[in-house]
Amino acid sequence: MSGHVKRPGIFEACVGLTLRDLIYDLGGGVAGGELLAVIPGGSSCPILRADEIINAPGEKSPLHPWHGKSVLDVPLGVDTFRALGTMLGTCCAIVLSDKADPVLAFHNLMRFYRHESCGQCTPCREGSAWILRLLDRIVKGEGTIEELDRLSEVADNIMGNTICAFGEGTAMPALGFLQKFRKELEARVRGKTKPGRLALPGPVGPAGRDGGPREPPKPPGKRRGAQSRCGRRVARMITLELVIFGLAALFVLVGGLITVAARNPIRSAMGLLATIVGVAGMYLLLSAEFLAAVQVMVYAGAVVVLFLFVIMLLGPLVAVEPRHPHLERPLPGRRRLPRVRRRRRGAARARRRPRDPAPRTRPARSGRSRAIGRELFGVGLVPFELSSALLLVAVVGAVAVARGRQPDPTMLRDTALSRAMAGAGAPEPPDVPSSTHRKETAP
Amino acid sequence: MTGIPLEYFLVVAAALFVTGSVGFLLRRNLLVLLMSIELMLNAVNLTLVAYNRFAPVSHNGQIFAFFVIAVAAAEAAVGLAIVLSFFRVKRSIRSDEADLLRN
Repeated sequence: MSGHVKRPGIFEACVGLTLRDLIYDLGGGVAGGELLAVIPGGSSCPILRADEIINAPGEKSPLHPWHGKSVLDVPLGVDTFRALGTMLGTCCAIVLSDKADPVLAFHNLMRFYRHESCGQCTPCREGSAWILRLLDRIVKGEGTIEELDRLSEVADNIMGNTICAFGEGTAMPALGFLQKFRKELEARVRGKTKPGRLALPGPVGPAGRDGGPREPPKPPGKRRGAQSRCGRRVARMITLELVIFGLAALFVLVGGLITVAARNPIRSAMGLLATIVGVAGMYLLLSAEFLAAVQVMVYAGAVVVLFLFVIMLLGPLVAVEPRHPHLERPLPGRRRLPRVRRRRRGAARARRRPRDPAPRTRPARSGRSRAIGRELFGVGLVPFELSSALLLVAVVGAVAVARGRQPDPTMLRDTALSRAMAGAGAPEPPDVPSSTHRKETAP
Repeated sequence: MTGIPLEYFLVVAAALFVTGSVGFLLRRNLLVLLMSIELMLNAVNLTLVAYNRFAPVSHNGQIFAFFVIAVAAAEAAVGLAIVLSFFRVKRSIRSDEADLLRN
């Protein structure tokens, strides 16, 4: 056992020991602070946080006996730790105190793997270096949230793509840290926290076992200057994103209001179109580019056009519907809203172009869409095919319903049935074309 | 890529959902009812995708939203067909005239 424990060393114990026994009994407790996290099986295993609670309601889960308890109370074992999403590996537990900086710990591990990668397989050689470079920026406070997301993509691309297990050994701790310490990493990216320290004063480390000279805090002055500069840049980017978000939200909400409040169904359809475009913009902000494209194609390209077709088919009879006082009255300034919106959008586009020229989302886009495609045609293949069957059924059903089971007397004008129906219900002679028929019955 | 908090997206989605449900409850025009349903589905999709950003590797939320879009397209097709055939019977698309099954 190593890390921030009072008594690091090699211990021999039976399977079935818990992490709590290991850290607090054998290791003598956490040195300098409380327990933050522990890597149970050597540095290439995913990390476990001390505040995780086990959620295993299923009877068959190997973790069910410890449902609702802390992860520290689970006995060390192959099955239990696999179910926890980590491994026992080489059983070299590394303990992290809450006074230490998890971001620096992550950076330290990745520096090790970058150095150790032999370079034979490209994903591992390049991926470990990419991860380290991105983490360098994040530690310095120069990173962005997008780079944080890219870290998981890089790590994900190493998994399973290398000859030996070293690649997994690099990717698994990276994914573990990204999952368990997302909050801390995001806080660092936003400049809310400063780099802390990794080595703690106390009985561990080269600083001396009996409270010797304290280690100076890590960031020297130069780094702090760099961080504040980058902090400003990040802040400006966030405000730009907020502006885009505000525009998309305006589209969504005003479009929604127009949809439900407009008297003319065509205006409703246009409001729906604005909402759809706004939602697609939000998908882009959430880096769901594939879904944004699908949204525009399916909704704007198919659904709204279908609505417009039906409105046109129904004709002027239903275009304006006069009898709803509660939603009829024009909202104050409603007419002006679309124009204002359009002008602002143009201004934002003009402003966005020069200031934001770097294609920052390009690598993320392809990676994300590829991952979605893989998942869609892997795990989601059956539902995907079922959805195509659903669409086929819907199309056939729509045609069947729209043709109508009840025969229209004007369509069946030669049969006896139509003559009977015309005699019974329809007042006009059967030769009248359907358009005049519609106009006559219009109120 | 976003530095915008999750709550903003959720608030917009909730507002959109409320707009859609109010429209669905208050309007009588069948076409507007269908559009209100689309608004609500969009709000749900937005929520799904917003939550999905906080899962580092999984894309389940986006994939589910994809299926919701497929179902919404099917719903729109069938719903509009029903509107057409209703119009053929009643010469109107007001939902309170849909009383054929009332005795």
